[in-house]
Amino acid sequence: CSSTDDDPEYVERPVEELYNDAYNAALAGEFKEAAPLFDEVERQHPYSVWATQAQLMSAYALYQSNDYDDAVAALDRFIQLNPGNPNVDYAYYLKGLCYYERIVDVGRDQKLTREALSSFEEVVQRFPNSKYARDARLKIDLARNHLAGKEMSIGRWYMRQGQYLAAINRFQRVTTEFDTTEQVPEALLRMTECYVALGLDEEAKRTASVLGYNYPGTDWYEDAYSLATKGRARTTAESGDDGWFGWGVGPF
Amino acid sequence: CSAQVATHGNMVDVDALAKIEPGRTPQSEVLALLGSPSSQANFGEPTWYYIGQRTERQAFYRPETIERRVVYVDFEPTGAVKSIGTLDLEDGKKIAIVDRETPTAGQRITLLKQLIGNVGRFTPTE
Amino acid sequence: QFLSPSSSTVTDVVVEGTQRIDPATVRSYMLVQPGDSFESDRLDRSLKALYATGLFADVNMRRDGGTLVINVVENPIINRIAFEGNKRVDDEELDREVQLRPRLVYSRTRVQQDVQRIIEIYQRSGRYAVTVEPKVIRQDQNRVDLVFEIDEGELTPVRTITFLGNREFSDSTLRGVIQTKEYAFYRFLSSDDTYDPDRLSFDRELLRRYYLENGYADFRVLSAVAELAPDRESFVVTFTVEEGDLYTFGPTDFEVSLPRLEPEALREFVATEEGETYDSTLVDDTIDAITDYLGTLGYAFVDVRPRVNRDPENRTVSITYQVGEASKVFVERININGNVRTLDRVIRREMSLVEGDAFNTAKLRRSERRVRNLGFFKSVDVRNSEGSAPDRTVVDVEVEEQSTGEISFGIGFSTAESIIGDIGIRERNLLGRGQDLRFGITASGRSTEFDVAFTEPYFLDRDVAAGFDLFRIERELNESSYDELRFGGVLRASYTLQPDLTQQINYRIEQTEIKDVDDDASRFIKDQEGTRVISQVGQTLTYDKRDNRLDPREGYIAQLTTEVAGAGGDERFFRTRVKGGYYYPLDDVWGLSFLAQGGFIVGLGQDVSIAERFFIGASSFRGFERGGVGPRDTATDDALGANNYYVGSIELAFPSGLPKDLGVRTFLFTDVGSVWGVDESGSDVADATSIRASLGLGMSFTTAFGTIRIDAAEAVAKEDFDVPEIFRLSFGTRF
Repeated sequence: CSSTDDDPEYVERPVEELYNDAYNAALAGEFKEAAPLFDEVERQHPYSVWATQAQLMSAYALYQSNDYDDAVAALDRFIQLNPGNPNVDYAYYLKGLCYYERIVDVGRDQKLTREALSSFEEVVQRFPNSKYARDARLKIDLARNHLAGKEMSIGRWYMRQGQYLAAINRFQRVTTEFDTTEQVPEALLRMTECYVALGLDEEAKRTASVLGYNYPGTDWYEDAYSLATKGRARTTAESGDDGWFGWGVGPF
Repeated sequence: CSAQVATHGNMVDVDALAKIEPGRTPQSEVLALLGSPSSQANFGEPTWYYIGQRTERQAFYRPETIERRVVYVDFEPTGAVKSIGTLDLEDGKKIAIVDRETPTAGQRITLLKQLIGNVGRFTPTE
Repeated sequence: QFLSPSSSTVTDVVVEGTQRIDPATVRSYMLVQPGDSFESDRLDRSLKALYATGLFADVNMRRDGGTLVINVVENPIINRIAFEGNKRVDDEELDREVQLRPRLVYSRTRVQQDVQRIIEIYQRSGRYAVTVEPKVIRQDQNRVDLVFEIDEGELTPVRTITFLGNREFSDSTLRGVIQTKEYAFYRFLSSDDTYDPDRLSFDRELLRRYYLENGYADFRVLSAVAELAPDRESFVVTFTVEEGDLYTFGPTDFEVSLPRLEPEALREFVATEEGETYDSTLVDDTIDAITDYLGTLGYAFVDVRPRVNRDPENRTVSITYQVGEASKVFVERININGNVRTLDRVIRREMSLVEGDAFNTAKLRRSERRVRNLGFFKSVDVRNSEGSAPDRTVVDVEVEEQSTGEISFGIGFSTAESIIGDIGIRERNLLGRGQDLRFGITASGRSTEFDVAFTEPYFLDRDVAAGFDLFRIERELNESSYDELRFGGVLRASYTLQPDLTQQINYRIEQTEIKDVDDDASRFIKDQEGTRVISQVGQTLTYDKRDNRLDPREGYIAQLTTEVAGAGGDERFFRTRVKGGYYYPLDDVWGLSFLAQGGFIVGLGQDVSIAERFFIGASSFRGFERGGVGPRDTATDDALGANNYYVGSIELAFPSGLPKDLGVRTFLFTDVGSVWGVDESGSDVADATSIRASLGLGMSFTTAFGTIRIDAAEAVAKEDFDVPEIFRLSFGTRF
């Protein structure tokens, strides 16, 4: 009585055959075809030992074909159904990758960066000695550096508008909450610039000396030192700005 | 032609400022009089900053700061005010902001992507 | 059923009945592990936890000596889902709304939730008589097929809307105020004529606002009821209102508790006048004005509250503005979320608040208004919440992006240009930078035009909208028997000198070619065949106090344009144009508008070429064809264009007699003016400074497909060499 609204070749096939078709498709890199085939394995034979493995493979195929949202949904289901499965650490790790690979530049909403960060932190916290934990830790640092980069870009924008107070608080957030990232030296220079602009020379000198102590020999420190002592940055302005219309092509 | 004037930050009230005496006023009273500091020193002994300014936007000119009041309050380790000072616009310096920026990665929206609307893979080395 | 409490401890936990789910999974939800005691409370909670997973149809536990045996019956897996009986809503849309999917675990609660979701879809499109029956078909290996049998029932439109208790405003006016509409054949595009309870409550708010803005301070909506007609086919909506009396503004005074502030100093910001009919929006405007003024005086923390005291005897509302110190709160941080495409700075620069600023609600509201006016977002929500200290607050800007790319096609017809077609591609938020880029191609029977326009709204981080245009226009000018090809570019920048006073400065470089001049064309035109380069600097000052730009009904506008050509190029002239308009509404249909425009061009050391002169007629002077008024070569009957002109016109809009929301507007108009002056001279050059005039009737009709505009005008005063044109029609549609 129910009309078959599913794809036409809905035909019961033995589980090994189904799984092999799917697996071969994945091997051949045809991920768009492999994912639905793995789903067929699980749908026709939900109780076979292959079903669990098929769930994970289907998620992997979706990830490879950039269907990130479907991949995350499939991984969540796999984790809920098989919390004890030996590959569950890979499921958490793959979920982190699904967010991580969609991180957008610092000018835009960083929701995906934050979700990647929490997924990888879950991998490191639940499976500290899994073979995926090492790469997860590396990606955590990169994601945190990215979030620090956003604080910096907003701080720099406030500085260009002459809003030094707003800028200082943004840079201070980088030196306190993101103190292990590679944005810290620039944050210290920017703060020195703001303090000099406000006329708080003592604070400028203190900040420049902290920069010199922790990051000696960097361009950031050279500029901060000359700014705090002579009131002028060392290097002439490199043409880093992107033109009048922000195209970075000459005046435009 | 008239300009739009906007006040930003915490323009501390001059009368309240006069009530603070170095060596005697405790930190709690400074908090009551001026409110919590706009910003605090992050290194060395504790210093509170109250920074406020008024900017003017006029026709095609770049927004310009026409008045600024920077108040700093140093504290003794015991918590009493050690010294207090005010700076205004003249004490500030015009600085050339260093152009170099620490690079960050992330998908940039290119003209093509905006038209097609898909955002591809993010690789940190991009 | 669970175990009686006993002191012995659990030696082992055995899981029975699992088929697909891993026993370890069941154990991971158990609060009782080997070594704990058989404590009923913990067992009970584990039971609840297992049910909460939605994985199990039944769970029970029994004690077998020291072992705790957990027997579960797994919920079946959904094999396939199908919908039946759905005609109006297709399977994809239902599939998207329903949460259950093939391969998910079946559970009764989830099925009921999905049934409810399907019903809601139908209710949203006005079908309240829908019924949904879920059917389960058992398959092998504990799988089930799930079928939703849907009976859509008939569409339940709103047949009639009636108002009770309204004396001052007619039923049809009030029907225009609310959003719910009566069923009508031409409303097949909108769903406003179907019953929707949320829209009905929004209608109550619209009625309240309308009455409050028109002086009825006591107005109340007693009830808004929608009953299903006896045949269950449609709804009857009845609003019962109590209008109360018409109020006027009484005296306004202030209660000020701010140090060093003179209450009378605030009087100039009061938007209401004593005796004027009461209008709640003017009170809000006054509050905004006072808050801004106090902000500039350095009172960062100000709270302006209106105390409304109604005097029913002589029906006046006098307002006391209580101006007090608000609590000292500073903005700790401004978070911008949801901007997946627009850059953070494009939104942040619209905020009137900066991090570290004193917080005030007027600035918060203005920031939300400014971000919304960008037009890039489906929704904008600016809210503040408790910060890290009592006197700190965090402002969160939540936006939802919408596509700002537009591809538009237009087809039109006008007696002047015959068939017109245009294609436009526009991106209003280029690369998320807030920049606007437009390509346009327009082709008609007599002309083709291609143009590109780019604008950066905050050029060099200033309040300056700068950009450039490139254009190429090719036109057949039959009235002057030659073809014209123009191409070139414009660099422009515009900024605000004062609220409502804006200026645009521009540089224009253009090559104009006069070609394909007919053999029998005027000799003056033949002399000017060939190409010329014009390099021109210009400015336009605009003072715009109209209520809106597209369809002004009230206010006035004045514009002065001055242009000098001569910095390079072949042309040297000075040209000035003035435009003014005054719109005076008599009521929401009747309206008077006075429009005037004029201009002159003078050659600087050389004659003015024909391409730069004014060709007045058609839309600029109704009743005459383009260039139909002004100097003419009477031998060849070619319009020569004019160096000077002025035209004034008065329009009276009157009710068209058709239902208001058909969008038909009718008006009477008269155009009066003169067009004269040309550098050429000769016996066959006819020119006169006499006054010409025309009288006419116009009608505009806006439908979902486009606007049709018809003007019929009779030239009542003209020179014999002028060329009248009685009838003009233009129809344009964009989609």
